[in-house]
Amino acid sequence: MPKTPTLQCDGLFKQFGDVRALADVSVRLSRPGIVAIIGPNGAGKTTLLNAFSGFVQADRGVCRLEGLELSGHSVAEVARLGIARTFQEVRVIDRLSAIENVMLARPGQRGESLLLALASLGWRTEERVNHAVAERALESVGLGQESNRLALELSYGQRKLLSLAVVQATEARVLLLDEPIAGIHPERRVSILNLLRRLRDDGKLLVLVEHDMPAVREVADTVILMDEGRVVAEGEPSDILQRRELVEAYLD
Amino acid sequence: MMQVIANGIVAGAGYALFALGFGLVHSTGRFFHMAHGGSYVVGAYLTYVLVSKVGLSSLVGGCGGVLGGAVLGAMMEIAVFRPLRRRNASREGMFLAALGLMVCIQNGVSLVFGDQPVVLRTASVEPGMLFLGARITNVQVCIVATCIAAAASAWIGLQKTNLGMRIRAVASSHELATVYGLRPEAILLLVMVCASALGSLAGILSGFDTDLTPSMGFYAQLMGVAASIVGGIGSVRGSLLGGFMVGLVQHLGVWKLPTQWQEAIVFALVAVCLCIRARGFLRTNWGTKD
Repeated sequence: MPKTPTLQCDGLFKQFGDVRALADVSVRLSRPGIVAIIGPNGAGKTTLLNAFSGFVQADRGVCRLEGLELSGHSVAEVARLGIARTFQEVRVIDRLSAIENVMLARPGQRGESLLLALASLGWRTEERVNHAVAERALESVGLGQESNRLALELSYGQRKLLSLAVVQATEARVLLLDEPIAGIHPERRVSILNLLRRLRDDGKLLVLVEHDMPAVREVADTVILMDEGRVVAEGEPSDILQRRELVEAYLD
Repeated sequence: MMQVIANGIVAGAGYALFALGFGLVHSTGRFFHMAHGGSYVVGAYLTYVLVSKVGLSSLVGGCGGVLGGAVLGAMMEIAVFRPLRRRNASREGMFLAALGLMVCIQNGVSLVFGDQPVVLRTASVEPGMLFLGARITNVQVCIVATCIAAAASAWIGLQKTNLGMRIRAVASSHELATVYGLRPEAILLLVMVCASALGSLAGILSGFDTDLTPSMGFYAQLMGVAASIVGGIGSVRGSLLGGFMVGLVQHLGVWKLPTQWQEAIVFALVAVCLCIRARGFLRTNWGTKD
């Protein structure tokens, strides 16, 4: 019997006005792995991430996380179930420091339940552990020096790195990353690609929407090519990105 | 002169306490909480009932009043503000709803207790102790001390605790806080309860200092909002600064001018301050951007 895919969707439809963003999309993704969703602008890549993370409720079709139906769950519930995501237009909490952003994302802290937070004693030890983990996450993206700066004081690239540190800290099993490489300083690129690989090796499923084809070629295990809301091709990057007819039709 | 300054500081501490709660709600809930004065007046009158009618001690009665104010805050949040927020009500809508609540609360208090001032003070008025040439009563010392203690706890709570971090996250963006797996509604309820407790504490302390009238909440609202704007809405230190500025200007003003000018002076201060620093003297570094 085949094992349940980590993340799957079946017959996903989503229409925005006249635009069909998703037209019968079905995918099955298993962890560990790095899956890159590629395709021209408006292909429905981000909408697919939105459907998985609860930001968009599909008109038809279902998304499942390890067999559990996600439709009808709120963004916060999906996050708690173990799907973390980053955004194309980086979104981190501006008025918290970098390290607080990461600490906030750590799962299972006291303070999750308000009563516990009010009644808790000895939370300082726990906070120290959290702090240490958060510091490591910041260092892994090269932001160790910036941990006490407010997120709004960081540059665009730094904020993007911060959002990677944040999803890393959630300990989610599935990370949905919208253009994690674009806009990152070339010097940091290699270490980010290594970070993505390390997260995969920790057993996570990473789903990237990415326009940087060299990066996709380097890091992805699977490529899904989308256009006009449909999956056009799916396979290994060496296979898909070699096929001239696909590259010329969709990626140039 | 020293007496005038002392009076200004005492009044200012009350306004600061009020502005602290008002600013907390404004930063996290993003609306002008015009019913904050409701907790102020209800807390004070509840304490009056508990102390003068039931016969509890001032301390126990005061705690009861704070509890009552907090419960009122929770009720307002659950019954009015939360449903409005779920329907994406505009800030103006929330403002009007809060204003309406305030009017209802004030009228309710006036229906039950009448418009005549009632007296909460249990002991006869003592002359107070002499301090740097000014007479200050124990209650007044208590007001200033409470204000400073409350501001210090609020600051530490917001900046140094895990829960405070969550409150600042919600203040920064409700939507993003949700992405981080937080429940903004729960945080907003908690903030409302704490803020209302602070508001009723201000009302109760002022009730022990002067008399109670149904309109005391509205007056405190006016002055507290002024203090909040002058100091910088949502900033803990700003609330303190704004409160003391408003209190001092008000009392120094009427030292030389007729009392009818008391409110006018305060709003002249607001106008001047807004011209100098449009966002208050101490802007919050954790509140909303817009």
